[in-house]
Amino acid sequence: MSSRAPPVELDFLGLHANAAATEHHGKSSAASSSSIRGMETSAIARIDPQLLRRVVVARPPVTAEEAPPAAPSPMTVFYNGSVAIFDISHQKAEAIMRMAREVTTAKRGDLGNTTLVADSAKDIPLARTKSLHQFLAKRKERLTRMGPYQLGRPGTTSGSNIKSLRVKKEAEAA
Amino acid sequence: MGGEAPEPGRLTRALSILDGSGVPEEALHLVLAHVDDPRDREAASLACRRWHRIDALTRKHVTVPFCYAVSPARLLARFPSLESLAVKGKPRAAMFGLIPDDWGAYAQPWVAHLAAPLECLKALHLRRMVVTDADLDALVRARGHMLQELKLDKCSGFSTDALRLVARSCRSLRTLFLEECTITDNGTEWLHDLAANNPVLVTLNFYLTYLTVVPADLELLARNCKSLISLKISDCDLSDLIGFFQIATSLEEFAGAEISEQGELRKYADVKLPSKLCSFGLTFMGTNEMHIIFPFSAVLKKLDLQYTFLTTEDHCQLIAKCPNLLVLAVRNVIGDRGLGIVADTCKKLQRLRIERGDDEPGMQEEEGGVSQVGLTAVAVGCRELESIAAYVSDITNGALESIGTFCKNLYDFRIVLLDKQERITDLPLDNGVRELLRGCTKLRRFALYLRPGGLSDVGLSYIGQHSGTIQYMLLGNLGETDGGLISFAAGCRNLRKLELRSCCFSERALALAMLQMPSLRYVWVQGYRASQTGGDLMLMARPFWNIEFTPPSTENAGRPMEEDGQPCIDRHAQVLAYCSLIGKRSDYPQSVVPLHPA
Repeated sequence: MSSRAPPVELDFLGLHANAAATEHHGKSSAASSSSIRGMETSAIARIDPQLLRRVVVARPPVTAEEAPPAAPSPMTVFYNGSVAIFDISHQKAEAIMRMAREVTTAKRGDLGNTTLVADSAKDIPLARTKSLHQFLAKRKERLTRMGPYQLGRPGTTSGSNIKSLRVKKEAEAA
Repeated sequence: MGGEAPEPGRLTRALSILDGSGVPEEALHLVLAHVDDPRDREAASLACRRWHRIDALTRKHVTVPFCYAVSPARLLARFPSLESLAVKGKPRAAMFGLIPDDWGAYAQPWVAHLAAPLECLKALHLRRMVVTDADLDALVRARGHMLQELKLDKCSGFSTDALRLVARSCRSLRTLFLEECTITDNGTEWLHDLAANNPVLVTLNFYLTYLTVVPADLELLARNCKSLISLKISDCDLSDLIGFFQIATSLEEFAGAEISEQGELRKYADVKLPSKLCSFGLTFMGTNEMHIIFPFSAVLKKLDLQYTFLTTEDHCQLIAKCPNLLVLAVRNVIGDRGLGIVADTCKKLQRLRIERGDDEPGMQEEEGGVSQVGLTAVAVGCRELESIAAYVSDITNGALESIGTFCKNLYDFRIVLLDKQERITDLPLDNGVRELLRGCTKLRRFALYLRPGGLSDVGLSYIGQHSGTIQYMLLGNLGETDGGLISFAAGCRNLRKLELRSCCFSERALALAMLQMPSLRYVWVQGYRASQTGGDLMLMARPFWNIEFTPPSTENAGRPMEEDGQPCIDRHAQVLAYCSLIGKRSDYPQSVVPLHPA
């Protein structure tokens, strides 16, 4: 095998941190390599290859003539008890690791040091269409103008509409 | 065919058809002239240069889904025989007051190119664009003699003076559509001129325009336009239309007018609606007036009750009489009870819209709210449904599953979960959404607007996974982390247009997600973890992809709503990214920062 950069390990889910806390392991990369071989190879099939491949190949495929300067090296991904190995360039690896870091820090509630405006759901109320908004404004106007015993007012039923008509007729007769 | 190679003779003929030289030009013209579906046309134009040219010469209709995607000059030069053109402008959010008035989408560049070279153009449809009197003047001068159809849909910027010009100059007008336009009212003469000069008018719509109407002009319209089938007007008391309805005996569709005084039985007693009427809507119609529908309720196909004062009980009584309804639009005052009646009665129902009533304290409607109960009933009872749009107060996975099981013809599904009720029966909706998407295989448009906790990252990935042939999505308050968005994006192969609102995603995740969707050509976002400069959005920078950023404003901080209850538009960051062949637009307002091209 040709020489390549030593494998870079990224602890997505803080597994090694937990392991270190409980067992105080001092696993060397060589030791973890041997444990890879000990894992079930069928575990690889359980990762959705479409998902990971799309993350890896975010840009349109590069033709042979435009090969990136950094030679592709293997990137080993440990995730959810499974493992997969990809041959990708250093930049892509960086992009993936950056993204993974973001996901994990978001899970821990750490927003990082960039100034962000967090729009919570309460800040963005449901908007209404202008036509409906205008209709409801007119409805409100009518209801407040007409008083408590007229049609359509909350708390009234159709029965009281008849009542209001009778009231009107009596007023006319008086 | 098996493994046989085709005979030499057949192969030569096949090759010559592919090559095109064996098929006469006229034949190709004739064949392509019968191809109407825009996707078929697109495919044909990509076959070879010859087919591209013949498609260009024979294309009759083009819809431009976003006015800044192409240049009018180039488009109209490519299709010189165009008979009909539709152009859409401002983002949909403009209908909700979320886009500033000076945002753009001006009709002028388009109208300027509609003159002589386009000999066949007879229909123009503009949606959510700014159209000035000068634009309509130019249009009329270029195409007035041939114009048969003018549709200005939710447009603004013109006055009744321009309508007068259109009315006087376009003698062949069959359709004049102005619904929901903002029009400066300089007088009512335009309607009189229209009635006097356009005898072939079939459809007139100025619904929700608030223009003043003179009943006598409508009577003139009825007398002169014997082909008038559809009329939708602004406010005008129903009792003033008694004469009009007596003359307009061919009328099949009517909406608008208003009941200005509730409970005045004598006033409306003489209103007799035309016998062929099968589509109806009446503003402020109440319990005492709804009986005017009863004589023709059995033949009613379309009913618009969104702007009425009917109670839940009224809805039940009325809809029970309408077994042939195809299209129904209501507010949520219909309640689960009313939806039960719909499910039992309206077996042919194709389109259902349940709008949002007033939720201001004291103004709410009694029994006003629909839930999983009503939704399930409708799903089971109305198997022909093609389009459902509903504001619901409560929802369950089961209701969504029912829709997936029973509404196999659904191509448009939109649901918004209202925010007034504190506890929702059954969240998250991950499984229900999955089952709905798996069951409704014809879905093209999908909107899901929930609240935090409404859909997990897993649920969001389900949407991507089962997105199928969905081309448009609106997602609000969905997902928990950036991971959810990325896995959603990984699945959306056919998504062309995406709107995101009030989401928890970072700028970087948004950019990376957009890159993953191969068919995406338009995305609008409001409310996310925005930065002050939108810097991370540049991760999705690439040729022919414009990125516009509206930075978040701290000016209105602490005042999330205007006095009239509308949200302040300036407060939240917005992102609009779209495919464009023309580069950065030159008419963007001050609030918008073009990030790419810069």
